[in-house]
Amino acid sequence: MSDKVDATQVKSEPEKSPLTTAISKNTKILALFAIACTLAVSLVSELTKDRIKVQEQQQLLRTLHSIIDPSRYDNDIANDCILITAPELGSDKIKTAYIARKSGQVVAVAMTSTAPRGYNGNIDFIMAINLDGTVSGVRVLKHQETPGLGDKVEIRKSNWINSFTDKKMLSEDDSRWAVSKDNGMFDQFTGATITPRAVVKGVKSTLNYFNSNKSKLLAYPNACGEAALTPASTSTLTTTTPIDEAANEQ
Amino acid sequence: MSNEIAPQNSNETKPTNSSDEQEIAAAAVQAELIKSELKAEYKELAIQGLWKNNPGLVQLLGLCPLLAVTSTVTNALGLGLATLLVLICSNATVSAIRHWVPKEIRIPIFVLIIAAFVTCVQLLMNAFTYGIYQSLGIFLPLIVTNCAIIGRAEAYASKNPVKQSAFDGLMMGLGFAIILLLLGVIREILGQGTLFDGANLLFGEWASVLRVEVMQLDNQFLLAILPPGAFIAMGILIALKNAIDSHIKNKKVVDTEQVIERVRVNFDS
Repeated sequence: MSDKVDATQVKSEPEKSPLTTAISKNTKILALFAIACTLAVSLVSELTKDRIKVQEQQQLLRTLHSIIDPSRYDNDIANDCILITAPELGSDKIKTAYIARKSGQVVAVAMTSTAPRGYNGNIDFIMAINLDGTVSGVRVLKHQETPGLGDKVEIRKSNWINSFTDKKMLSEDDSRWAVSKDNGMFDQFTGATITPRAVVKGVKSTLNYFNSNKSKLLAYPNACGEAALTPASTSTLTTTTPIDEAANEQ
Repeated sequence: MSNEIAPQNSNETKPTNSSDEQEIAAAAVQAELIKSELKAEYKELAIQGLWKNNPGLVQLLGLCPLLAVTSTVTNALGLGLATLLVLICSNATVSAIRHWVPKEIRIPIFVLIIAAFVTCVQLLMNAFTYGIYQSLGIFLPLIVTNCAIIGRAEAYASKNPVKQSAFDGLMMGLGFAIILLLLGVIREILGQGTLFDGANLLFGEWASVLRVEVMQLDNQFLLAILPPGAFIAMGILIALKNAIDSHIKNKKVVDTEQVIERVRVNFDS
């Protein structure tokens, strides 16, 4: 205690060395610059905020349109979603599922999910599942697979990912849901079997999860849009991540 | 009388006129000198930025983004433009505040300014060119750590007026962007056989017509797409630049030798 008091007394003494005056002057200048820069950045951020949000929403909508035909639903799908965490979805992160409704009735659900153990880590994807359990479409959102080999899971490199469309699980453990090397119905790529194998497995697991938890999932409250903004800011925070991921798909 | 006065008057006015003219002429000469000096300075800046001291080929600064994002022309162009913009803005700002910044804390202040500009550019790209923002990923914020930018701030902008600094930023940025583009062209043609693939991400939907199929490849040439290909292409570009430089140098040496020969002939005779 006494030491601290001494230190403050020394500081408050009027005789300042040139070093301390230089330090305090420089500190002030630095602080001023920091404030000015922060102001500039926050101004730009404020100006671009709405536009960025619009862009993210558009991107999300474009992705959703590619897996659920826009004529099949009439609700504001980007703002109608539920949040799920389940080990079946590949990681313990919070996943978002967007719900497509036609005149109030659920038509399909677009779930973000993860296929673990790709050739180079996790593969994030979004898949739309019709209410009867058939796949409406799958898109890979984010991956680090080898360019030229494993990246054929992207729609702009190859249309392999469309081979999931209209497929269905016949049983809980349908053996057809594998790459053809494992006697399944999905092709692998020349030189890359691990990537499609991981994606098939991930899609299968997600589909299984949806089939067995359908009624429970659809009872979840809406976590997106205006309704969700009021209760807590955390829910909006978690929803922005999948939107970012969805935007990666191009 | 009047006749006498008139010439006197004219005599009186003449010298003053001529002195005025002289002054004006002197001022004009000086102004021209300054102008020509400025011109020379600008020219020198352009040569330095684009060729002699190119940040990509000679200073070898900012290699990380240079090698990582040049797998397509579009990405290269996006990063090149972003870096160019940040360089011009940061150089101009650093130059404008150079009298108020004590030299002990200039580096943190430069870093602050650069980081602020990069964040602004990032936000703007996020808002207006969302696709390219997504495909540049982490390399957009990493412009902060591009040594070329803080290098120019420290070496040139902190000692020179705003206009020249901005011009220096423009030229250095252009030099960097050109190297990015060249690498992008080489790697995209070899790797995918296309040019401007995904240009619509940068410029909007109309730009998808820019896409050119240079050659049809059954399989992508992996080496060109992966980072090692970037290193090899970069090495070839540097070697090419050095070869051109030494070629020019040899030519000059030959010229001077010829001059010396003539002198000798004169001396002998």
